[in-house]
Amino acid sequence: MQPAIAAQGLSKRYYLNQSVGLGLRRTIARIQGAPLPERPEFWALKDIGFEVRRGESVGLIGPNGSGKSTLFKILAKITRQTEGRLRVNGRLSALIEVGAGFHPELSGRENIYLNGAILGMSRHEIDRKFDAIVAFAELEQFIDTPVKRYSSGMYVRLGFSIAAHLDPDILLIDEILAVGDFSFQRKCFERVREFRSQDRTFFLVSHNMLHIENVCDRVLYLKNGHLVADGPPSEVIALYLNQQDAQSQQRLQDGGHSRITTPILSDPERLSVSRVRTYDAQGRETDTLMFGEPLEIEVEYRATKPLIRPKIEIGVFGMGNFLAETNTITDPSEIEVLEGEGRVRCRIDPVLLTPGPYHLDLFVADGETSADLCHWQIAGEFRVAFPKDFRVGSGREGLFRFPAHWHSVDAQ
Amino acid sequence: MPSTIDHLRELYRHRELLVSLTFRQFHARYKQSVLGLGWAVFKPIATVSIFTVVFSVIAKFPSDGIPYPLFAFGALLPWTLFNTAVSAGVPSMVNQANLVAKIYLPREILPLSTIIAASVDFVIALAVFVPVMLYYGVDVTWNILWAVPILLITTLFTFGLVLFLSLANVWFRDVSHAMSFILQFWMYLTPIIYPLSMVPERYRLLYGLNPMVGLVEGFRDVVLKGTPPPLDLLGISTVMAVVTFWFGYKLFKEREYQFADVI
Repeated sequence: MQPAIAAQGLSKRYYLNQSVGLGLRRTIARIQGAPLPERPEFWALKDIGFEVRRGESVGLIGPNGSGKSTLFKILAKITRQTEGRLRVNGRLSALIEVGAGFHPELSGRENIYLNGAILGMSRHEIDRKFDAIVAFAELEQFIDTPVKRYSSGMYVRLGFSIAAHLDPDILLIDEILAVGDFSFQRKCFERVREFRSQDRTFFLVSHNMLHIENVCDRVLYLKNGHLVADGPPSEVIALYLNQQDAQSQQRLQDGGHSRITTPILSDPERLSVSRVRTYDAQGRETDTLMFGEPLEIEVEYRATKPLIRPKIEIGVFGMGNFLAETNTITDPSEIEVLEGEGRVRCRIDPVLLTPGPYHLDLFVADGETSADLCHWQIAGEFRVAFPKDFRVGSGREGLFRFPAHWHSVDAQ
Repeated sequence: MPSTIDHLRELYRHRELLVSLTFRQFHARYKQSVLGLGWAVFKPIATVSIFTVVFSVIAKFPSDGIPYPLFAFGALLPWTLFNTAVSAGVPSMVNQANLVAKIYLPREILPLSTIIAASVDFVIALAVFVPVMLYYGVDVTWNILWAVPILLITTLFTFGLVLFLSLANVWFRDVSHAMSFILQFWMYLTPIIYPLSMVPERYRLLYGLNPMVGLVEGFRDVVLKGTPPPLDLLGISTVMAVVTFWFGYKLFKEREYQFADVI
């Protein structure tokens, strides 16, 4: 059977300087036979080769600027590769930006027809699917309102809903499963699963590794325009996360900065937070801990005026998602007041996160007025590893493990 | 290398999109305006009235014995078709950069839809023109059938020119700035406010190198005078329209893949 997509040696060059002046100087030089003035160039993609079978769901991951979007644009025929060959078999629809092509003055109804046509649906097809599109977007009430009056959520829902009702053989989606509220996201995922079960080919770009792991059965990893890995999601994602992690470690060792940002203090006269450290079970400062062991997070502060019953909140992030939080108001806390220079600690025991890199954010708020005094977006980083004797099950890990126990109920 | 025929076939496959985009333009243009489509009726009437006052009543331009309002209107019909399509078509790619950079479609659909929208305006203006003709009691002859090929050639020339200029506009925005000025100048180089007969005979062919001359004068002749069009001038226009279209379309399709990178 023919592959849905076959790419061979795809490369894409961009010129960084597109100015008319340089173009003219080059033209003049060419006529005079003089050496051409140099034109700075940039290879967004270099020698990419892969094949996608029909019915495969492929995820495309990589850091910003790694060439993901460029590859998508080439697949979607929006731009053309500088070198290499590409064959696409079947009808391909690409959703690179939700609602691109919406006209703000036109109503939701008119935009469904317009956008549907832009994405390759026939009028007859749209007629047939119209009600389903509106219902999926939950916009029955507002369908005759111009979209310029829509909220951003409504706008995105309509855009995705149209795309969700396309009938292509191959569907490309760029980072847009992260739209709408939770229930809408869930609908989108169901839609994607349905799409997959119909033996169609699906291509997803995302920074959210959970989304990738959930819907893809193969992952391509791009880095600096090169294809560095192509394989099963768990392996490639692990490689990607490890490399990302190693990079930030490297930057730390080089005396540079890791991803750790600086805190945003709304009232530095009143409170400043200087450091967030993480400690393991033995009380050693560390950024690596074993699965199932406790973690202590220490916040070092300086308060000019005493801060009574402060709200200190720490959030945990992993795989691009917000996972959990703990704070001094809803969780057991002995912290009554912050004054002078001091440190507070939060103990999490046990940590049941599965191996991988995680990071922390921090909020400190006045307990009385609940005004934010400090917001630290990336206050700390740590990684979790499985102990050596830990047996990994199916290869599907999820983000954390329950303290679960299995037993039989009515065995003879 | 795909041929022009392949391109036209691909274009035909996207005909519904073309209709939708034309509709979008037309519709969006008159949304949130009280007169709405009334503007398409009002504009030609206003222009003809102003021309009549300025060039006939005040400046006393000759009009080959045709009542001046009719004379000006007959020429403004094809000219406005051209003028509207060019001024909307040249920036059409840049104005819709989000479509060009984010979605695949045969890009000539964008300028083409502006031309079709201009044709709809033309039809509305024509509906205003016919009662004016009846009012002045114009003698219609079979020569009026020439109007059909004349309009087709006008459209072909317009499309070719818009393809070329909208392409250039992607690289050099100067084109759309210059265009409003050039179109004004171009109008005075075309027999609209004055008759072709005012141009000295020895300059006639040189003058006719402006393809709009044969088309505008031809349209006016066959509709209002009931005579055949000036075949020599119309011939020049036809050749230039075909060449412009062929060249413009070819260049456009060759460069199409760079639009998303440059725009």
